[in-house]
Amino acid sequence: MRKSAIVSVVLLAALVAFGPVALAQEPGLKVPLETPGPGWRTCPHCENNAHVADDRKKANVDTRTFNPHDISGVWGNGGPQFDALVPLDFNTVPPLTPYGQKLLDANKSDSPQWNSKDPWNICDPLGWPRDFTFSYGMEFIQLPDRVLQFFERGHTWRTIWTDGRKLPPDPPIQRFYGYAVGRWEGDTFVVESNGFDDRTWVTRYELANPDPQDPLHKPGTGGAGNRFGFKYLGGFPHSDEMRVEERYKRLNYGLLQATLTVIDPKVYTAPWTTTATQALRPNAEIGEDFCVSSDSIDFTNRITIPTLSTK
Amino acid sequence: MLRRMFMIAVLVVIVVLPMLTSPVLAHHGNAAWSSNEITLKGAVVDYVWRNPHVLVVWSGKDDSGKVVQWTGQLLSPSSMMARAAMNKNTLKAGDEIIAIVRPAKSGAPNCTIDELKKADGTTLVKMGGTAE
Repeated sequence: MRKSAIVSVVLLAALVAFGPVALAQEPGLKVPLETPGPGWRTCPHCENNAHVADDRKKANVDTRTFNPHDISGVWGNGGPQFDALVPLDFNTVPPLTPYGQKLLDANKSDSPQWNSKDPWNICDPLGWPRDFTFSYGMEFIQLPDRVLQFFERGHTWRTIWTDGRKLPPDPPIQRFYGYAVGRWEGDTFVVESNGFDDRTWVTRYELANPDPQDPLHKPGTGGAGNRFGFKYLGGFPHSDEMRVEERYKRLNYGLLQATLTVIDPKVYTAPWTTTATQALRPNAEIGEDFCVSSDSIDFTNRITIPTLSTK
Repeated sequence: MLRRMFMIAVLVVIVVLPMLTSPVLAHHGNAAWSSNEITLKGAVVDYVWRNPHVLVVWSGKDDSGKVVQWTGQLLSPSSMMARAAMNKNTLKAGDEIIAIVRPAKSGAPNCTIDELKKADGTTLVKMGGTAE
């Protein structure tokens, strides 16, 4: 009897995921904008797409004059949904090296229903460049000798030094967000970084099961999976020798183009480059979105564990 | 022997349970929830306005008259603000609600909330459709 109890407890480690729900339709401007108070702005994740579009229209983002060397501001495309600031394209990921494949296989989830190996599950830092592929919004603040890049998800930042220093050739301590230096090449802000802790993922890797009859089915990658779970769950790895290059170019007042390249010959046989644009969020302020262990544990106890299903 | 086995079980719970946390707000599978909706009524016991998901806990009677306490999940607080103008004061203990939910396949009184209404039928939030 006691042995069964122990086995049952251990089996709890095989989790059932819990499904997200999302609204049937875009709620629109009828949903009042919530802010902390007078003079305060909403967070990028806290306003729906209708309000985002309305704010941008009021700020004349499409026609306003701009300084191409000014990339400051809050940027992010989405409203309440997750915003991959740069969605690393699963269709263009280069072939992995044998070592890279070994790491990818090790990251594969134990369960088709949730991403069991995801380090974010236990509130490990998202790291770079994953925070750029899985965020709610980011903010650039330019100072004379550095550019600060803040991320709402994880409530963290990284410092991009623009004082002329070079990247450390062999940093003594690996960092989750690496070491970064930046410079201008014409109207393009180029950032190079290295010195990464290899425990983070470049990005998660999720494929929904093909179930076109399921209204929640999303073709291609990611999404909420469906009632049959995911076809593949895991994360793309990187080594501690990874380098990342980003190129930011302000296309107009309201649009910032970002090209992100992962260079990691130990894991990927070729550089992995993705380009995307982010929208200026003139009426948003970076909020606070920590991964809180105690909140997660409480949620696990209230929802995850009781919802475990063997059906 | 029994005491040792019990201690092992406690240790497993202490070590394993924190690892089961999943603060990721989306990209969980939907396989845990039934595809069929049911309607439940009751009085709010707890309203958890926190990440990773807003939770609503309520007590109501099932068909046999037995009181059951249900825990239903919504999205994150910021998502609920953006989509449904919910806030920390939307619900309080004692509020009567009608919940249209998809219950857990496990049979536990847990669910994902598709629609929440006040007792008078006014819709508080309506979910469902394209997933985040």
